Amino acid sequence: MVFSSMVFLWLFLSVVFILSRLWKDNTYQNILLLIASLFFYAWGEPVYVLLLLASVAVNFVLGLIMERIPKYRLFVLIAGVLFNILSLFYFKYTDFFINTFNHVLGTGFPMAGIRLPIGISFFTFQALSYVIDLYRGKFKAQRNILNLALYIAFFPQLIAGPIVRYEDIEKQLHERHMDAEKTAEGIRRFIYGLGKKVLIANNLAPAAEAVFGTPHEEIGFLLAWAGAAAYALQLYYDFSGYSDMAIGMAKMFGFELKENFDHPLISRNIGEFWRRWHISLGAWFREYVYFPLGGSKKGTARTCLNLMIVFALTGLWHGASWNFVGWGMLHGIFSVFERLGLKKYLDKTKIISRLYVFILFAAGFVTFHEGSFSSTADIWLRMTGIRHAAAAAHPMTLFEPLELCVLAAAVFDCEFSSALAEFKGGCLKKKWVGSMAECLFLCVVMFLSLAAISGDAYNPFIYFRF
Amino acid sequence: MSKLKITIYHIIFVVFIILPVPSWFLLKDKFDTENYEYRTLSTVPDMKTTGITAYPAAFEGYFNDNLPYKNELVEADSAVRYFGFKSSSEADVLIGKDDWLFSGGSPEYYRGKNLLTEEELETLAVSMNEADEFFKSRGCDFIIYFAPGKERIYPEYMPDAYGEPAEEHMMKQIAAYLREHTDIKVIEGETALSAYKKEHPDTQTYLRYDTHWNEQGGYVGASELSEYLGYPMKDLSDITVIEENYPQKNLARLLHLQDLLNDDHSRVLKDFGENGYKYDITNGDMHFYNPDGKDERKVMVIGDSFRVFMQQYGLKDFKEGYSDQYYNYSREVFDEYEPDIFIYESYEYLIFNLRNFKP
Repeated sequence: MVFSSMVFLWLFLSVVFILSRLWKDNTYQNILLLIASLFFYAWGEPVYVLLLLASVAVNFVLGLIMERIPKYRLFVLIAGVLFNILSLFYFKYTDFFINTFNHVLGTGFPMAGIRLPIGISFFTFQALSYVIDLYRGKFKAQRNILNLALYIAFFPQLIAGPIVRYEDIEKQLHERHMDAEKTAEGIRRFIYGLGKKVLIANNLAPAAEAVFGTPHEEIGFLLAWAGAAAYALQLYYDFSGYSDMAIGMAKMFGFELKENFDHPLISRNIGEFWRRWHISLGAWFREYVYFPLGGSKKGTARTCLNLMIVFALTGLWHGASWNFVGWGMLHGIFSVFERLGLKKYLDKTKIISRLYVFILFAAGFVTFHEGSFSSTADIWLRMTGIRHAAAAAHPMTLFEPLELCVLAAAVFDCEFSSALAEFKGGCLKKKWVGSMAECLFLCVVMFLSLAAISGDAYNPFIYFRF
Repeated sequence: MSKLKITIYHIIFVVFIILPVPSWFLLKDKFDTENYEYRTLSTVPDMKTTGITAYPAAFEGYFNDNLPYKNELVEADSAVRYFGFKSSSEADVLIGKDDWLFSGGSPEYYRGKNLLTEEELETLAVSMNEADEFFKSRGCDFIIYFAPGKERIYPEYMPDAYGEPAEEHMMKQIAAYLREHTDIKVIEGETALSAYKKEHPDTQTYLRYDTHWNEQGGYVGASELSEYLGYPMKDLSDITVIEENYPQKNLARLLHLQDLLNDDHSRVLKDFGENGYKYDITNGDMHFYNPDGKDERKVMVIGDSFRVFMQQYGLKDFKEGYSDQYYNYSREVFDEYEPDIFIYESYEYLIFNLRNFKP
């Protein structure tokens, strides 16, 4: 069940919202939200919901053991990390490693064919953060398994993040409050997210597909850039829209989740980009991988190595394929360059540094789409103008007018909206947020989003009276 | 946030998220619930049949098919795209210039990107020669008729992205090859329609929101066929024309804009139709007849929907005929009717069906 589906919006969310208003006590609320979350997960994964429950149970028990038998804390930590990592490895990476092994050694081991459980990367990382932070003594072990289950399985962030750390939500499990204003803010945020996903990302998708579906020989410089930008922005609006919806829904149920995106395209270097893009994942790797490896405190060479390791793992987290690792490494390489001196030059010029980030952002995500290195490299060569197209298609003719408008609006929004909002001390933003104009705007966004989702449900049989 | 704004956000949520389903039970009868999708919509799934793992997808399919206010929402979405951005909500519909709609599946034919190989043409010619032999053995004339796509006659309304129509395209290629390698009479409606358009650029021969030609297009398109059969047709300008709205607009319907795109008209040719040509439809097949017809020969027309206007005007001088869709044709039908003339009609973008035709 995805957030931008009518079953979710008109049945699941509306029922859970109404029920949540009937029982205002946090304990009952938690039970209701847990049942709803498990139903939500089981709807998409009727079998793997057992895996989710197993993850909750094992991490809960390990947490209790860690607290009650202090001398085994390290052993329990290792067991907890191994359990979570191995379960992620088994379900997500088994075939990836078998395939790589076969390629490198020329062996012929059969693929395991394990289906990937939805959201496993997210809930496993949350569980890991619980076990590791518990070991670090940041909080006490959760003694109520239902609360831990709600932390790991809470439906707004279960399948697409943000990755919530237990310490950020521990108190809210017991002491949050819901009021009308918070609910209204949650609704507001939710509508923004829905609009980003349905009205922007979904309209960029056909534009990106139109380009990448064109034979490469017909892709020239302009079209390659238009396609790369459309695809990268589609991913951004899709993902940040989901995060907005998650944060908004959590707020509607009284929870405050941390931000996951903060205008990543106004960044002036890759380091800053990762503090603005998928913030919860960047923070997770910084906290649990980069710092334990020594961070930047063990000399330049080691820092560079640490950066490369972290970015390679970040890429691998996104998907069990080498193109994702390549994408991570690309970001890693430029982070290393920045660490070695590039950042000094980037800091000197705002325009070039922003352009540099946009180029890496758009070109980087080509690896996501194309899969193979040769195909990615071919698109990159066309983006640089080194490889030409004999009869190149033009984006003005290949894209629908709506797609062109959305692409232009998305680029404008990413590059200039934050500056516009901060214009004259942020007076425009202050006037807009909570204004009647914003209410009306969001009313229209909500209606158009529902209309667009319904439009997707209209599947006329292609019948021409033939 | 002020109390008023808080209330407004709550109202937005209640109106757009919570109320639609419960209100539908009360208001359903007041809204349009017709199925415009040319397919049977899903019914409530039974978990005993689907199993637990397939149930959610089946239920979502059912819910999406039977969505409350679906027609209104889909129309709103499509209208915003169409009127606001001149964009199509359906990949199967292209929005051309001056609001002309075209079939989204046609560009490869239009651009001549799907030409047949010499081997494929040869195979087709062999197959058609066999068909011709069969018809000859049964004392029957065999004619192949090709109805051109709308974009072939009106390329000026195609979106700029598609450029000029290809000089060499599949229909032309097949027609030329069959003329050269078989004795079959091959008629391309494009010849007459293009010539007529040159002389009468203001007379529309295709429907703006539909795939098909209008009655005038059918009349002009059938002229060469009628002439070949021995009945030259009068010039269209000598025929009385009545202009009236035409309910068929399959492309607008694919966009769910059938209620909003109403400004195209069809010209009904008054001197024909009810006065001379009549038809009965049973089980989809069509018997047409003209009590005043001079020609006693029996005609069978097998093809697609373009055949309807083509036979109405091109075969009006025959006393009787039988007509059906290409996918309903079988040898039994032929044996039962025993026609003297067999016409295989094909719309340009269904021309590949000719490869599967066996008499």
